Amino acid sequence: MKVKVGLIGIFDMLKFKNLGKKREEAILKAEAKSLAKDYKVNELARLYHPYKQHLVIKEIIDEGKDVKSFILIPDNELTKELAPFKAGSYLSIYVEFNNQYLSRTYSISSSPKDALVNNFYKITVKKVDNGALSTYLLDEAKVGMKLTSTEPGGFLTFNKFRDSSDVIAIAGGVGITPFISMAKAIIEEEEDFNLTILYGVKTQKDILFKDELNEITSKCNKVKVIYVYSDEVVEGEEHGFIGAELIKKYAPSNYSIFATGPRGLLDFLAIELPKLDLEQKYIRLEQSPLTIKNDDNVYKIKVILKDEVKVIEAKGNETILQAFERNNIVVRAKCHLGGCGYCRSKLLNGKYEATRFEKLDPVDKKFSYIHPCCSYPRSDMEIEIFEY
Amino acid sequence: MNTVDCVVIGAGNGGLAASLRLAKSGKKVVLVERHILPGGFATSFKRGRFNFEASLHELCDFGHEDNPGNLYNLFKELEVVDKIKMVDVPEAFRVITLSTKEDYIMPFGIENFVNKMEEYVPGSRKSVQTFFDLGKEIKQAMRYLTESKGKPDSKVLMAKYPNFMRVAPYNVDKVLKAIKMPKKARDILITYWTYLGAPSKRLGFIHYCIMVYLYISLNAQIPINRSHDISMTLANEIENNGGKILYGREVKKIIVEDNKVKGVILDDGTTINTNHVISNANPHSVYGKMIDKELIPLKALQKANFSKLSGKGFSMFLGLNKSKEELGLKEYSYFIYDSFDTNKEFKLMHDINNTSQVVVCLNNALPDCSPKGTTILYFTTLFYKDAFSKVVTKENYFNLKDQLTENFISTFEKAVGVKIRDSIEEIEVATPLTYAHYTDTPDGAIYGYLTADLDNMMPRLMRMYNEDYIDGLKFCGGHAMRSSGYNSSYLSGDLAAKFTLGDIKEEGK
Repeated sequence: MKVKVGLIGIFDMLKFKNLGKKREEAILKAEAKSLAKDYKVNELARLYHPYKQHLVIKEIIDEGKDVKSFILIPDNELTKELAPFKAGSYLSIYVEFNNQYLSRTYSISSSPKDALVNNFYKITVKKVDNGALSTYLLDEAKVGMKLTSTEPGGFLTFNKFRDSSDVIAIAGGVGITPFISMAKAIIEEEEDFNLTILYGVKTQKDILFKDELNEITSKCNKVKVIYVYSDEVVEGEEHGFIGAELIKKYAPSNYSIFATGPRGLLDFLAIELPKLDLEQKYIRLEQSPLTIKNDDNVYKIKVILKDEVKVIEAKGNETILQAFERNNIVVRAKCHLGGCGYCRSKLLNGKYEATRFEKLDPVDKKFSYIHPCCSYPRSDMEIEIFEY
Repeated sequence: MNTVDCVVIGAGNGGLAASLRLAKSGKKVVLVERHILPGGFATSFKRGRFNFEASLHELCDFGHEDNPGNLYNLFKELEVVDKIKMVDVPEAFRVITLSTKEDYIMPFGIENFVNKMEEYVPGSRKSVQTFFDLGKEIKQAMRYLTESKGKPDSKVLMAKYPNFMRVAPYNVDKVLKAIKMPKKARDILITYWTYLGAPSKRLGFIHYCIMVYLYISLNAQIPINRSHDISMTLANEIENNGGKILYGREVKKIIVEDNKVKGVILDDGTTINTNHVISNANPHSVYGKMIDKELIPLKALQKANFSKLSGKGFSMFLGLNKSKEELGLKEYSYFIYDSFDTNKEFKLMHDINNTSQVVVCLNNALPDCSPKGTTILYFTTLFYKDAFSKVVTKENYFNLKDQLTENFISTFEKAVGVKIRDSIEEIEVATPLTYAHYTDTPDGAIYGYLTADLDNMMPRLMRMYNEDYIDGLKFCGGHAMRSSGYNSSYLSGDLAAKFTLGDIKEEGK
């Protein structure tokens, strides 16, 4: 075989040899200008996915018994603008007090526009039994207090390519918050879908955001709210638990279900939703954490961060993440369910039990990684954590 | 840890290979990675019941034990080849053009490929066979060039690899015309061009030819547990061999004195003393923010300005709730273009309405990659220059994602004639912003520097011994001497490590 490209072969050889020389000449002809320190796309990436958001409580609103909302604004020195989000997202909030560093997720109840234009988030917190952070936030937090958060996250957000344009939202108690944000986003034309909220409460007194919901539904025919009272009979209104029959009553022929709320509601839905015979893609649940309380032992965990080693006590009835936090060891955690991978740590030694929400990549499993947020210690352990 | 032989910046494919080579050679190496995961783009993620591959389409230059490629041999030398399970991709590609309504499916294996081409384009056999013969010679010539360490003997080159020498200075178009390949066959053959990201008249023939040759002769492979398995295996071996990986840390500064690397300063203030840095981070980032401007040689800046950032990544990941059979998706890779005119196509990719796409149906290589009755489909394209950055704003980002999603889904449905829209159970979209977020790559570029003209692989390789501007600072990754792609990045990391080992040996004398 003899391949000929140029007319006279010898020039090809020269040309080949000259490639390097020509490159060198072209480099010497290039400008020697400084290179950019930053790029618009990278800047936007940091805005949308901040490593950490430094926030200040601007206002505290009493929403009813054991429920308060917090208006959070950027702590100007460290965070200029808030990360934008899709309605239905949550924040993982971090608060340092009493030598502990506690984190929990709270859905954002303000609208995406409130963050984008007015530079604030609103989260709503209900005091839960033995809930260290909710108790602290409700009893101790003051206007001006500083806290930090992750970027907004979560998967209870509308996607027009995946979801039906009719969404039946099922909320229990404080689980209404992401849907308040969605309803506002629909009014503000940030989102475009029909939202029917089945809102489960014990009694009329327990309704959160009643005025806001009334205002939204009166202004916008895309949003409807149906109250479902479990502990009270109200004339002309729904009574009982939110199950398949009730959903069918309000659902059009094609719909998506978005649901969040306390464990009881989610466990009930786990029985009821299969009766609807919906494709899995039309059901989106935002779970609340599962707890495993079957081990009263106390274990020792050797925690390794870079070259530092700390030995802590961990209870069999608390997640490894909770043990870290009680001991003021900060691990970045987002979903608190075992799925997002933020708290991913390396298990060097020991046994653990994880909830059924644990989502571990098969490769990560092979190399002994765990998600401390959904894992309970079952022996003394040795864990390498990553500062992130 | 304060004094080490080498600091590697970034645990992308290049950084991982470089670190493992150094660790296995008994050198004290610290690999600094800003994320908590190794791999850079080579990773995976979960959505609902789907485990998505983040970036890999198919490995080039890997092959099998009985017919190994360079990458196979590298992984064997690094003792990781048996630790990562791979499978073959079923066919080379299906290519569809929208404006000219053409549709071809090409197989692996040179004979199969040549036969199939003859079927599509009668009379093409001879030229297509010549193309693969050239590929074989180029592969041998490249091996000789590597062995001669930058000082090849012209006489040997002329005697043994004359065709290589004759085609090396030219672009793809020119050589394909010279070997008299019919137009239609040239069109089909150029399908893989988006894997390198430059139009055929600017793409060096050598590079394109050897890539196609390696794919067709060795078949393409993918790891059964996504590219995350490769990244994790390499990372694990680095640590097993005494290397240290610092996750969640960034190199803020490279200390340079008298034009020599003296160390690095991390974001937590730690200083690590070293005479050697291998950067998997782009030179644009290194010179832009890690070294004080007055310490950067003018020529280094000229070299960086001479190179242009290549395509910015956009990918869409779909988890579909129907099986590939129900959907009618029979192939693994779909290259969907407006036309075979790569120049026009390249121009279209400078606009936000670009819908050129390479789509992978993972289940056609890995039937069990998703639950029974479901399918994983992922789409990738490139946006050039400011096509994305001039359009995206703080306010329109989510809507822009939806707009691009619409464009890509409707283009795919139209081209392949398969309806996927109603079956989307999970969807995730990665934009240049996403790539910038996870790796801090400048402007969301995923292919390093544009592989075109005098910045093609051949001229890069010919000058790689002469383009160290600061003593002790070397680069690996898509922007480095072997240009972009998984195999090129791993091999560039290995090369950078070998050069560094040579330098360390020199210092010891």
